[in-house]
Amino acid sequence: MNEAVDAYLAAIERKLFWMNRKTREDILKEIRSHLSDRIAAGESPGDVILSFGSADAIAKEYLRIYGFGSGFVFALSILALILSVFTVPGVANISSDYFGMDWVALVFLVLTILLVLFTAFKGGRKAGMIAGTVGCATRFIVLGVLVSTGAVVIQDGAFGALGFVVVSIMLPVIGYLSSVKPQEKEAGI
Amino acid sequence: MAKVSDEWVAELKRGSIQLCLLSLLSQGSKYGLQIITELREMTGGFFDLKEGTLYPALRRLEEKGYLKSEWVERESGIPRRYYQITEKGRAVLSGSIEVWKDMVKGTETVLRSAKK
Repeated sequence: MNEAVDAYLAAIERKLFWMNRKTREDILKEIRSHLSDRIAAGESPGDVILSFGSADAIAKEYLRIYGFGSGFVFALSILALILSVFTVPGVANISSDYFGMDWVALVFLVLTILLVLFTAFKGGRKAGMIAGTVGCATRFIVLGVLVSTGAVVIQDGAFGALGFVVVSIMLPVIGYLSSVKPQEKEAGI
Repeated sequence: MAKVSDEWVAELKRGSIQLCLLSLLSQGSKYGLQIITELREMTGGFFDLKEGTLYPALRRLEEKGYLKSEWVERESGIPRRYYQITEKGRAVLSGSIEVWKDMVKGTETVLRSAKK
């Protein structure tokens, strides 16, 4: 249609990379339809694009509404699952001899938290909570397996047991709190 | 409207835009550019929506189930996405109009008491 319009739409498309493909294409088609109508009415492509607003701001608005596509949320949740397996003390206990603590579990915990934060910030509240909940559930399941096979023994009144529960529950809470509520920013003029 | 900043006016308008959109789309299905033009003409230029505001606002209302949309092919040119109100949207609109009336009445009473 027009080079400037194509470049503008391509910029929005890049910023909507994480979104569900069908929704993204639908949004771009709607914007293209609007721009071409105004250009056909005699306005200059530059003015029309300027009036529509920056690609960055537009993409942010749409991401706030739709969040990540389900494929990405699924992929991130699988990653959260894998990472959180290693956050359980004892899974990688070979290392505990070195520092007196399970630093592998600690490193993986930090990675899991960062992943949940990323998912929540970028993908919205629902995505953040899903990733966090997957991480949380994985930790309990893995610990359950370790305890039932006798690989790990939970000591009486252990600080560790309480810490484990708190850290686990913290994951979905982080996913919930660190995301922007999808409907939070309502229309301005 | 002198001495009032654009940001402040936008803040004041904010609450009414969704109601205006639902009202306009209760008349029949319309597409984005048409909505912008009609709102501007109906309000003598007061509601001059930016595209970057309108399109996401329509999507939000659609996500809430107040609007539905469909692509309509044209003989020439890119198809247009038409929005129209749903039954749920209609119910929300009639409830909101009552709230709006009370709000205007209440606000006017308070504003009349203002010392200028």
